[in-house]
Amino acid sequence: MKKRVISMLLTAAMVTGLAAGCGNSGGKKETEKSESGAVVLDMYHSWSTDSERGAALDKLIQDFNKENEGKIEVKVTVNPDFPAYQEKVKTMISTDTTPDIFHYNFNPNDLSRQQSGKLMDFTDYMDDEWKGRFSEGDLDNLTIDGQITSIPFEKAGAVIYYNKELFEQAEISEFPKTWDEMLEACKKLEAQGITPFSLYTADDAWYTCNLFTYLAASCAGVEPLNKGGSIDTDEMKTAAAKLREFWDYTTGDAIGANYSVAMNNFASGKTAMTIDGPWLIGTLGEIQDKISIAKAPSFGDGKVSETYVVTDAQTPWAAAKTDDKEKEEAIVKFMKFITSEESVKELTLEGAVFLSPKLDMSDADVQSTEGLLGEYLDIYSQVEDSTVNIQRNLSTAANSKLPSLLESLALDNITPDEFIEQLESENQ
Amino acid sequence: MKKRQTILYLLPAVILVTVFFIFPLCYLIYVSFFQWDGLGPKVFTGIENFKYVFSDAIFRTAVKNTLIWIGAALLLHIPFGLILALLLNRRPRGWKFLRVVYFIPNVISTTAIAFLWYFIYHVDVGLLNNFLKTAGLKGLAHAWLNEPGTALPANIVPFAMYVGLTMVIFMTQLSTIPTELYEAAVVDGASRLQVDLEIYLPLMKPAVITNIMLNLAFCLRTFEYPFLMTGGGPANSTMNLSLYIYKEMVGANRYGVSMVAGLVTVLLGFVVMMFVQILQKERGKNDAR
Repeated sequence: MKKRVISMLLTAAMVTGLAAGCGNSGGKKETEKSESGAVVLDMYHSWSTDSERGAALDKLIQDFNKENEGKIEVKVTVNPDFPAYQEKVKTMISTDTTPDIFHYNFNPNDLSRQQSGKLMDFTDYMDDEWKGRFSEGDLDNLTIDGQITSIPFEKAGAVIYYNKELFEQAEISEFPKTWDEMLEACKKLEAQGITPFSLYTADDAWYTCNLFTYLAASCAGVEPLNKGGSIDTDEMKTAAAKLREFWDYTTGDAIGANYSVAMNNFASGKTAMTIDGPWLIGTLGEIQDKISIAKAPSFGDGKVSETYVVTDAQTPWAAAKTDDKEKEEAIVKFMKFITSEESVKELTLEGAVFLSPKLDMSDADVQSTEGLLGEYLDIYSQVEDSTVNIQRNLSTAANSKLPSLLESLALDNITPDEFIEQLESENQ
Repeated sequence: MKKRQTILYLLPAVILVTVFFIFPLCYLIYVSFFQWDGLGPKVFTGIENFKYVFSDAIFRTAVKNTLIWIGAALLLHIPFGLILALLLNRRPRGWKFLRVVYFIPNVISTTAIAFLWYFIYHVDVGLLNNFLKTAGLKGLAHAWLNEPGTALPANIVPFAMYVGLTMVIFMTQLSTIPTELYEAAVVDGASRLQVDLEIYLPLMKPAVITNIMLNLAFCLRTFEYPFLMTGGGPANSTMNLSLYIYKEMVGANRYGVSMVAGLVTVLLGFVVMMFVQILQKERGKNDAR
């Protein structure tokens, strides 16, 4: 009898445990407080403290915690694998474990996060002073259904980095001004046993898509790309055909490689060129002196201005919705701090990050910046045209098919025309 | 009293199966009729997801590749494990050591083994290509994981490392066969090969069926190798059902489509297990005769 009672109690305990595990917190998180009574904010981001930008952000967070000791404490969790990080954030939102503060790649064709109803609305806190820190366009883009659920933050241009030493070895005295000259340069580099381009197809195939977007912008001009609409155009097909030509000048492991493999190919001097953001500068180490930044080539037909750039997506901050006013205000205080002029200057100069909140380009420290970051800021200050990496405007479904379509194009399983047609069909 | 006790003993298992299998399965079937990105509202779309999946060339590749994995398990992996078991059963010198060595990969993380093989196959720094170049066989060097023709076999080869478990199951069965049968056969002049083929093999059918079931389950849920070594590429040539489910759900945010693929996987597993059950019943009937 006693045993039976015990078994029944155990069974009941197990069922209760399971039921509790399936419970739903309703999408709003409880406020956690530290021993000192400070509001604890769980921050989740992808900038590893091993990188310059991660270290700069970490320092700012520590400064913020010191300034707000006993009131607010930001606790950080880092996941440097950005594609995996993005997926995890989505999972966290869907399972009501949204981090208090996090960043993500904004895609106007994937508003699932904003429309989940689980993100905090900053509209009431967006006073004129804070609003003045951002460009109107960036804020407008992030205002979804009348709510500002994301705060503009990172928006960097992907520029062409090249290895001067390898170019010299191939007797190329000047960086190519047109894509045809670029193909000639690739031939010369290859003749010297140097692989011209770092490209890859895994995850988001970002390097490859940067090159593709530069080619597409050169063919069509930036305006049609910025307008959006169908990608099934003659110009896009021409750009895809050109991309196929460049594929012959990349590494043997490009098919299936991810960002770190392709980036390391460049950083180790194995390839002569790559198209990356300013954060690359901090990871180049000793090779940095051999690297320079070039203006992107065009087709020489005036379709794009001399200085045009492909930018990455806006990577804004967002926060979990909460009923707790104290926590909400703590989040806003942190957001205002991280987008302040001083923080932006520090992140740009120390972390080599190019941000959406305004940076005073006339600042003496900014103007006297040397090295690769100085080159980057110089090119960026001359930019006349810009367009966002094409994949950032594709639907999630089309993005998920992009790696296999790029691989099929590279392996000649499909023609450039078929590549564009299939991408368009997935983008519907 | 006895009936109540039986119910009580069965209850935990029934609850676990209901919570962790029946409920998820019902939910899987339910979601397969909706368009859902995992965050927003679900939109009922009827059989649209089914239409999409069955007309998707990548899904067909995934099914084909999963069947190739199963074929490799049935035609290569299990026979290989059987041969190893029969050889070790002859108790050659160091057989205990070899048994441990063959089994070790089963206790190592699959991720670690997948990365190990990734670097063995790497086009530039890989052990395999460097060995071929050193041996003067440069022409045989390939971008093993980057070419559609070699990527799938390259994905399947590491599967051989798990032969230890298959072998141990066979050896366990072999240990239950009375030694008198072997001794009698030897006295009658049978060779070792004849003993293996005529005596041991027919008596090892239960282990064969167990191994078929375990290997089929492995092949249906295998994910790490195509995910870590090739990401399903190049050009989807190594895509299998598990990876298709993952990519549709996490990559494309098409939960409904992913659930349909999951349902197909469950059905495929069910059909295969039914087939094994029939085999088992047939064996029972033959044994009774």
